[in-house]
Amino acid sequence: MAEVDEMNRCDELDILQRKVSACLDVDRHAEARELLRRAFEIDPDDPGTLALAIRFERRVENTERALEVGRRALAVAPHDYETRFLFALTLKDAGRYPEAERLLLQLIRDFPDDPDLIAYYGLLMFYALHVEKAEALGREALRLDAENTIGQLVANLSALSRGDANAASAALARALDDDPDSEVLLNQIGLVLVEQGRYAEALDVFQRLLRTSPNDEDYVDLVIRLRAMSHPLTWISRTAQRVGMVGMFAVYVACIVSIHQLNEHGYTRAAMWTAIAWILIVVWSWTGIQVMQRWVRARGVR
Amino acid sequence: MKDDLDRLEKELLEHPFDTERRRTYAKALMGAGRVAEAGKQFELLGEPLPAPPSDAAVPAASGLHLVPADAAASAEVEHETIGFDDIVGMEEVKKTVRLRIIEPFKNPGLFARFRKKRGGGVMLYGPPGCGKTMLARAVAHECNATFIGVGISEVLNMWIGESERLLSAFFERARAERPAVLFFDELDALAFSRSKARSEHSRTRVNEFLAQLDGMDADNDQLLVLGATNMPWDVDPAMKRPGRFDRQVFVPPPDASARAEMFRVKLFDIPTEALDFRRLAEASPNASGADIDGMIELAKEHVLDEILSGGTERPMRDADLLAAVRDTEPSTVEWLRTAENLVKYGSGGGQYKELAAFLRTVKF
Repeated sequence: MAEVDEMNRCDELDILQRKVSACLDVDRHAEARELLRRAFEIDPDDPGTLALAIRFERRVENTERALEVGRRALAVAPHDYETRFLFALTLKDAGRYPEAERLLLQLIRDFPDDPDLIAYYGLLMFYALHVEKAEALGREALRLDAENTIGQLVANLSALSRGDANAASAALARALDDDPDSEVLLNQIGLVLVEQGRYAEALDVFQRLLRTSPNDEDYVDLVIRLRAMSHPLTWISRTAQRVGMVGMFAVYVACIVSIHQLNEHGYTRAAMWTAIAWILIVVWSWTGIQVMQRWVRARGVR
Repeated sequence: MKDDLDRLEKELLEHPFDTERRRTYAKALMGAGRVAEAGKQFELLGEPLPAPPSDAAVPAASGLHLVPADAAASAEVEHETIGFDDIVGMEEVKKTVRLRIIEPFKNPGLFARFRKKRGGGVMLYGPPGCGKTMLARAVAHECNATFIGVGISEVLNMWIGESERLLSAFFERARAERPAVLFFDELDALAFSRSKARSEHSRTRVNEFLAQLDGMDADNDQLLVLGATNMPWDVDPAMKRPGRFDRQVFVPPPDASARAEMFRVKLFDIPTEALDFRRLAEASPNASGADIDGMIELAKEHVLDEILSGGTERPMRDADLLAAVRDTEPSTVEWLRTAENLVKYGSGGGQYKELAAFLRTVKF
């Protein structure tokens, strides 16, 4: 009788865990929370349930709670692959890179041919600003699995960070052929377009992403910024950004010299108007994008 | 109690069309205090949610309650299927639904002459608790069609490995009962966008759903497939293509006159002074039917608390309800903000015209 009860309990837990996993797959967080509560009632120390709880807390961006559950899970199942992997990712989320690195290295020692581990290690290195190491790890992950999404992400982010937007763009175009609807890829394409200064095209991409995730405030902010950046009225600000501090300093000097020369040769009015125009341009180049962003936020993107 | 619930849930998984089993399960959920889940089950049965046990402080989570509370409390009473006349407010939505969904069913000859198929798919979308499920039931009633509802618990059961078989069974059952309305509540859970899904299983399920909607191996004539969702942006884009859920109807929060009527109906048999329903409605902009249930429950608690501490029994007053309205943030506001992001910044107004028009008229 006790054996039968135990079997029923296991079956029920298994069903609940599968349901939680499916809920997380389709972002049904309220249902996932309720199912997890029921699973914990059956067995509060089940490693599978604890791993799902870490996934859940990460998904709802409750990093502190994810760390807490992760510690509990590791105490129960210190050698469980999924628990260790999820805890490493949670440490990364919390910005505790050295601890995350230690845990990922231990995992890589245990599972040296796992492309996911290597790709995530690469991503961690990218966050820790070790770009060359990240790129090498991204390459290694792609060698083990050419379609590894995180490996591709690391490779593209690395290419972007060393200013090689074209390489990233070509890699993304290839990846997009295989999976034209992938949101991860679209996100990266948007980033590449921003890096290349193609703000109007980037705006299209991020608007498409916003339409599928309208509750994502990061996309909203990005769309507003890109609309402001791509507006004709912010051309001066964009140019100022493009030529950089040194370029702008040279332009300032050239303008002051011109105004001085106009004044020297008796063109006082022309010098005055040039000075006024110049001051307005300078002020707009500093404030234009911020003003436009407020305008776009109030009016929306049309 | 918990074991009973699990047993009933398993039985329902085996017999998803058994209304008696579903009713028993719903009552058991109610008894366990899982009011929201019970509400969904009762909605699928076309029955109002019975009053919660007196010691349960959980507000009802269902949509509109259209019968007085004492009648709703009697779960044994068989209720008529809800028709459009039973639904408070929603006049514009009812008009749209009548024109786009019901008439094709009621005038088959006319549509046959124009070589237009009856049936197809319609997606009802809008904030939570605004009566989408009830509207779907009313559509089935108005069409004189069999209603087959698939709720979140069926969907959850589909997730444990038999999704294709169960989905196919629902469609087969609906085809056998034609003319029929097959209603999928929480459509986004079943047809989650494949570009966002994190597992292959979700993609397979959507592919199966698409095949069933297209009627690849069967005839879907006289089969109306309705879906309701709070998150239309999470539904796979392929679902919205012609022949599938290509007709989309926005179900907004109730307007002021509908809210006033809801307050009136829901307070029908509660001891009250003469209440100013118009004022209550004006004080509760964007409140859904479920929110109004919550407000009334809160006001009741306040009155009972005062009676029990003061000793003198008194009826409910405007002030009690207005205080409850002030203490309740309408659950639709968050949804409306998200929808505003979609329309205002995502250029989603083209696809969601009714929503865009509605957002221009409200403040939140």
